[in-house]
Amino acid sequence: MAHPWKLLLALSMVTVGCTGSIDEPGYRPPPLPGDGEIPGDEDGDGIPDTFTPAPAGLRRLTQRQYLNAIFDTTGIDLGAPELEPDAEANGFIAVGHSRSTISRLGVEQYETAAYDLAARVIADEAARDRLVPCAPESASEGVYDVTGDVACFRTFVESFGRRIWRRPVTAEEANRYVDVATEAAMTLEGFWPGIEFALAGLVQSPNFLFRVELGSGPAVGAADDGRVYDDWEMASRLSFAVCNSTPDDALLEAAAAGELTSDAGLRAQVDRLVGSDCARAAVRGFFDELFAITRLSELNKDTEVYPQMTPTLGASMREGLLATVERWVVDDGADYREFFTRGEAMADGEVAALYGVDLSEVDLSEVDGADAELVSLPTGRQGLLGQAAFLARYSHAEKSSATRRGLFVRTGLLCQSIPPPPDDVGELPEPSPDLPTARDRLTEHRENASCAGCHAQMDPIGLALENFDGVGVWRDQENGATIDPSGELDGVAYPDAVGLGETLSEHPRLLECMVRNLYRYATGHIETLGEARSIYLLAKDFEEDGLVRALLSELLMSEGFRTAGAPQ
Amino acid sequence: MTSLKLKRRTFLRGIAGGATVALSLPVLDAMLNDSGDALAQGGTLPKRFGVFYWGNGVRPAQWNPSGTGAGYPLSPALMPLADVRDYVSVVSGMRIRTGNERGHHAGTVGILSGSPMIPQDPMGAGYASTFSAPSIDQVVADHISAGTLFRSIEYGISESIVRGEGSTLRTLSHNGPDSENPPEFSPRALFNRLFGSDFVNPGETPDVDPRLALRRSVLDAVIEDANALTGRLGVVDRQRLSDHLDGIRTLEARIAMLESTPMRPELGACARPTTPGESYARDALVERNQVMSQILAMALACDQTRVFSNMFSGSVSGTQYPGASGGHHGLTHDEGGDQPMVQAITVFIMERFAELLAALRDVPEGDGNLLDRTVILASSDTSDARAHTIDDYPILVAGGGGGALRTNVHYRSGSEENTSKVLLSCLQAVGVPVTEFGNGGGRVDTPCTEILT
Repeated sequence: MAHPWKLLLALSMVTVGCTGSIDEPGYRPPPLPGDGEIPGDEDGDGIPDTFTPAPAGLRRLTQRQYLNAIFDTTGIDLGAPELEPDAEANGFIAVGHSRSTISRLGVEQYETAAYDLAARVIADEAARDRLVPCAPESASEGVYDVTGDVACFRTFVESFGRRIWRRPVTAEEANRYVDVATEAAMTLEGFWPGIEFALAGLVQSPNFLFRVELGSGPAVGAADDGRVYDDWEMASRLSFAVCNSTPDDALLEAAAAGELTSDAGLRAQVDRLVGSDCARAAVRGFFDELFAITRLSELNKDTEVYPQMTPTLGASMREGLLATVERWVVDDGADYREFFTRGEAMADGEVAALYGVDLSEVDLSEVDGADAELVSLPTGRQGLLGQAAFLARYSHAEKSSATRRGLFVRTGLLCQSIPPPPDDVGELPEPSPDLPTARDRLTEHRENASCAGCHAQMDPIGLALENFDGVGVWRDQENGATIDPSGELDGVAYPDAVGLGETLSEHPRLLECMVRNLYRYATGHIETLGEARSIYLLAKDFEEDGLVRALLSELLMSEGFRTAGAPQ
Repeated sequence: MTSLKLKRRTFLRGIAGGATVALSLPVLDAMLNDSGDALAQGGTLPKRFGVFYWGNGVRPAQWNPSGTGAGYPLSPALMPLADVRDYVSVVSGMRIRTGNERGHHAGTVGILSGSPMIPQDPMGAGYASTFSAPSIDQVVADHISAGTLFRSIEYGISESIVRGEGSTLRTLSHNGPDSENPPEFSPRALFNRLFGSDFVNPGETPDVDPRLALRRSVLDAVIEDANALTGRLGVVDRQRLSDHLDGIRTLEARIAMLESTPMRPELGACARPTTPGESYARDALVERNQVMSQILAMALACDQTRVFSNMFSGSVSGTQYPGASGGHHGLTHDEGGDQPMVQAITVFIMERFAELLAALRDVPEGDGNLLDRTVILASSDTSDARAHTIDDYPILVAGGGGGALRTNVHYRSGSEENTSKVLLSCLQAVGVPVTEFGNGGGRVDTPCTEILT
């Protein structure tokens, strides 16, 4: 009898090896609408006829979600306490948090943070007034008597619990924390210790630290065993997907009124949230994870090779990319296809200098610390592939990497998979008079058959970006030789980075991959084959205008976001 | 107020002040016999177990000693261990038998758990993996940690961690699949946990803080929340919540111990270590390793914990080492020839390992020192990182194991034996009653007897 892992091992072996085509024999994304035979498409409209939801389950709050929820609920900023680390997987923290749990150390850290929060609340009269909607009845002098305070404890547990657990607290649950409050009030002889311990408990509960989204009932019009996320679960799903934080009062009221399981009610809240400044948080959060630049402040570059490197450069690069996409999506309403051809970017002084922008044209009076300004990019640099954050992130400490950049475009932007390198990889040659440029040194990747299958998919993309060094500064030459940035992407030839951007913007997988990635970010799992119908329908709409904000809205309205498979 | 319906435990605690909790106490000198190596009631001083782990392997030609047996000649990579060589044995020539599906990942899971990795790449969406079984430190903790305040401690030195490829590359210590015990990188944070306000100095009588009992009541309520939730969950989520509950119960038990320790007599060399600095620079690897080693030594001497792991650097780590022209992982693939920079990095890591061993050796205990009673497994995620090999694996076993380990020997396998045999030896040396270990190709039922007495 084989262990389950043996089966997994056997299955995963299928993905090994690039033999000429990137889609064969490894993972092959389902064909695009109109691109060959679609599994489950009986009516021939190019879209699978049925949708099967993925299993519902627990989603652990990320560090940012925990802190945002605390702040939005209590008004208290906990700063940067030690918390269970985020656990990204398959490109997104949200995906990792559908698998990971809270460690023993994490339990300690959440306990410490809970008592820190509780102490701050009871020391802050304004916070107390906000959170405790009743007054203690215990006498202020003489022996403390808890009797008169119990009703207020219950009121507090019910109101704060509803906010922090994102759903009403049951009577049984309320009893638990009223008991905690009562015991604390008696032991420490006062009303406020009761609030302190009840609050500390409510924020250590799995009902807060995990998003319990399990679905219930049969889904309307879905498979027989289908379930829908209920109103409270939908409030959380919407709010964390768009605002990366806990639902606000309006959303909870809509949930209480049963509006989030109806099309019209859901549409109203989707429009409200996606139309709000929350969309900025969503765009930033998504691209931060997609480009894997959440820790770019820790950028490691050899300062002898790159004298531009400073302790703040990584953070500036990251902010530049995030501010740029925020502007394009939210302020400009730009078509996603243009993200690879636009000749402007947001940059602070440090990043603008990397780009060779004439700083005299930038209003530096507005540039303060991390604040970025819109700058026109010099000829040759454009779009997301001209961003320093991308170029530096997908390089080595002391040199650029055509392979890393190409790999990211394939996997991150086109959702194609590249198998890991074989075990017997040798080293690449050092630069020499015979091999001055990366193109020369990567010859082995093209000529060695065991390398070429995969590297032919990555290197030509990255070589088009060789005019940008390991921190993203323009260069015409490498080691005295002129760089040849020409290449081809899936049959389309281009002369340089600008041409690569144009080619990429028209790539048939670009928009569909954006749909997949946003779906992964919002739902916290890698889409299953059964969910292809939702992906295809969203991709079909997205093809129309390329508007990321509209895509987000439609995604939140989609079957994939609203229906749940039974927990497994 | 007596009309209020409070839980019975509340009154029990109120009456007994928390003293009703029955838990085993740390080993105290008062409980030792006159000769200092055995407990008055017939037990022995605790053994300890640790893992020292670094990413990106070694240069095998410069790692393996040229001779075998007792008093083997130190190889170039092992020269830094000269001062502690009496405590270090080398095992070479063995192979990870769980397969090499993915470079670095398979080796990490294989050498730390004797089991295969679980790949996690649904729909080809990036690559990740996790452990299929607990890492060896947690297997040991199941057997020897009862009665200590901390079941195990995990710390790391280099913060340059690959975080996007699943739990395998970012965390050494695992309870099972996707259940990590993440390392602490901040000496101050580790110090505060082990020696902060909860710590009772030897010889002092602590005041039992009434808040401790209240904290336990809060955790009881949280546990009830979790219990109510678990029935609604699928199998995998139930395990996740169960792992989380385990952490809550562990914390609750610790608080109970703090309540039930009325006085702490002298305990050998136990003393609160010097408070470390507020923060350490990312590249302050030497300083961080030194101060972590001091905290660890006192954590063991005070019997705060008996199990530790030091993820010196993570698998595939791009750590920037002093004098190197690039990140560690990149260099293992890109540096030509005999890779002198990679070799220098291995020497640097062994210098840090030697400092850790010396820190334990220098703490007296009973008639010997801490290292005499400790078993430390030291290894990496691969053998030769340039080619991701998993044969001729680099393994060191350090410490005396309370007399169970043969030290200062080099055993070289002539038949590519299973590396799990060394793990089984370590388990037996530290007193875990097992005769087999590992899963799949990593399963063994005989230890590496050459390093056992």
